[in-house]
Amino acid sequence: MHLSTPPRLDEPPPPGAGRKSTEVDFDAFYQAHYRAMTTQLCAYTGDLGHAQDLVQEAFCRAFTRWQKIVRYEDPVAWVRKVAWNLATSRWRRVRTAQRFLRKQREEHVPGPSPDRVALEAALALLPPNQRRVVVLYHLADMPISEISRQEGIPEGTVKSWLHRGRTALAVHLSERTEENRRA
Amino acid sequence: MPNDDDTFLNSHFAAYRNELIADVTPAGTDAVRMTVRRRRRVAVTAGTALAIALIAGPAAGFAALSRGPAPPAPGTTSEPTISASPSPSASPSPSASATTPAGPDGRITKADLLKAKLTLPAWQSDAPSGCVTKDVRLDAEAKTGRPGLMSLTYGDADGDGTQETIAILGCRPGEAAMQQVVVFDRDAAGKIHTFGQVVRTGIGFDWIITLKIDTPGSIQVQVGDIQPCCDTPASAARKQWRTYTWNGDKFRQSGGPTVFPDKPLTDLRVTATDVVFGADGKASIKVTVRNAGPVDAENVFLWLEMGDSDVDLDGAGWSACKESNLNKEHPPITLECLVGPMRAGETKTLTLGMKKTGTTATASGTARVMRLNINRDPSGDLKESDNGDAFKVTF
Repeated sequence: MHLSTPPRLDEPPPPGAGRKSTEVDFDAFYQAHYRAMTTQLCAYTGDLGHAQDLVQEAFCRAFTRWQKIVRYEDPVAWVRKVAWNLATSRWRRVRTAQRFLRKQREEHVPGPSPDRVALEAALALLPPNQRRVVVLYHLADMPISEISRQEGIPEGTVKSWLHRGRTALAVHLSERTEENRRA
Repeated sequence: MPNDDDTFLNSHFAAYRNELIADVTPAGTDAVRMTVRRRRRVAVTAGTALAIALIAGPAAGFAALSRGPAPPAPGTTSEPTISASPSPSASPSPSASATTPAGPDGRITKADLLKAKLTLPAWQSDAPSGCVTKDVRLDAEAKTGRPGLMSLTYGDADGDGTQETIAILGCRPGEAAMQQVVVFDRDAAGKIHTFGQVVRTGIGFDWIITLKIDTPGSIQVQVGDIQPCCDTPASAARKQWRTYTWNGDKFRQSGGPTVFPDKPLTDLRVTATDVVFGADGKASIKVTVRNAGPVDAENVFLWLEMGDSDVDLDGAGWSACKESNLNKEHPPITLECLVGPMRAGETKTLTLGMKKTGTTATASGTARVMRLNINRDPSGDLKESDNGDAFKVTF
């Protein structure tokens, strides 16, 4: 009997599954991947609104060349790479400055849970390189080889950053959890 | 410290994912299309043959995409669309007037409009998630981050000889409201429906002031380039009357100026000295900001990008800034200073202190400046290459 893994809530099967990739509909593609990608970028940047902006921008760029991208073996990889690149580009810097200056005029929605804050705070303590690979590994569920491809770094380096990042993250998180318990 | 890091981390990430997924609010594919369309329009306006050649190709692809099985719902695209064509049969009484009670003419009382569950056209692209468009009951005022009614007018919006209801709607996430002008009508069954969007903020202007209909089928809207708010007086806004008419499919601008002319650019420059931390873990940097002209800058924003260095603001030098801030939410860590207005030709030298807060260090940093308009939105610069200056950091 053939068993297949049920799709995760936030990661439905690729929209092209079962049909030709050229038929993949942009809307379905967006719906299928926007949330998961935003979650990853939020873990990296620590700012949900900012992560949403980054991912939306990446999808805008995908839309302008959709007929081409849809034929790629893995269109998700393209959008994800663009989103992550944006996170370190000048575009991001300008948006960051803009967001900082605007935030006094914004009202904020009810705050995130202490656990979410703790994870974001612990991630923020990691150097950006380590933070990227940890997030890609744990939230994007990417294997080492794929992270290596996206980031353009050797697999050995990914493993080393991942090891150091995970070790440090576990320490930071444990400390945080301890603090929360004491508080 | 847990023995099994893997399980420990996995459970944290799983909880994180589960919580966050629910909070993510996709702006949607209509917003994607709108952004792409707007960019293409800007490219066309720029007027180069190259820009037109470049966009002609993808445009065919978009046309194919937008022929999906589900056409965009009314009010979810940037281009105003309607839920139904205005049908002459919607007004069986040719003499429909304000005195006709709940007849199928389009005069909708404020109370009725506030009671109705509406589908609204899209808000401006950067509207927060509270500015919803589906199943909306309008608030009586736009005082919160939810859609609300700001004003109501009656008139023949589409030139069909009957009255419609024209509303200025607002959604106010902070001090300033995002706004749109929307026409509502009743269908043959008397049900309120969204006829179409006339115009909204965020497309080159930020303020919808008022509107009037002097000629049937022609809506005049007064708009301002910036919205008075906080410390921005109404007198700071430039105002224009623009006319919109119904073309049988959507409202389009048919008269009045289409843009606010760009305010002239100026040339900001910045230079910064190297940073050397002393034995006491403190350092200072001398930053010189100059507005080389030719015009005044409403606001100058200065920030120091410190890479991964564990630093914080220190000392009294930062009091020269109107506002200052340590931003470590997103790498690189930045020390930020709102310098304030600077006249053409003015130079300011700031001596800003910093202190170590840890041991991580990056050996270089960059000082950057940016002009902000009165609403604190970034403005361009005559020469961007001198808006940043790298400095060495000895930790």
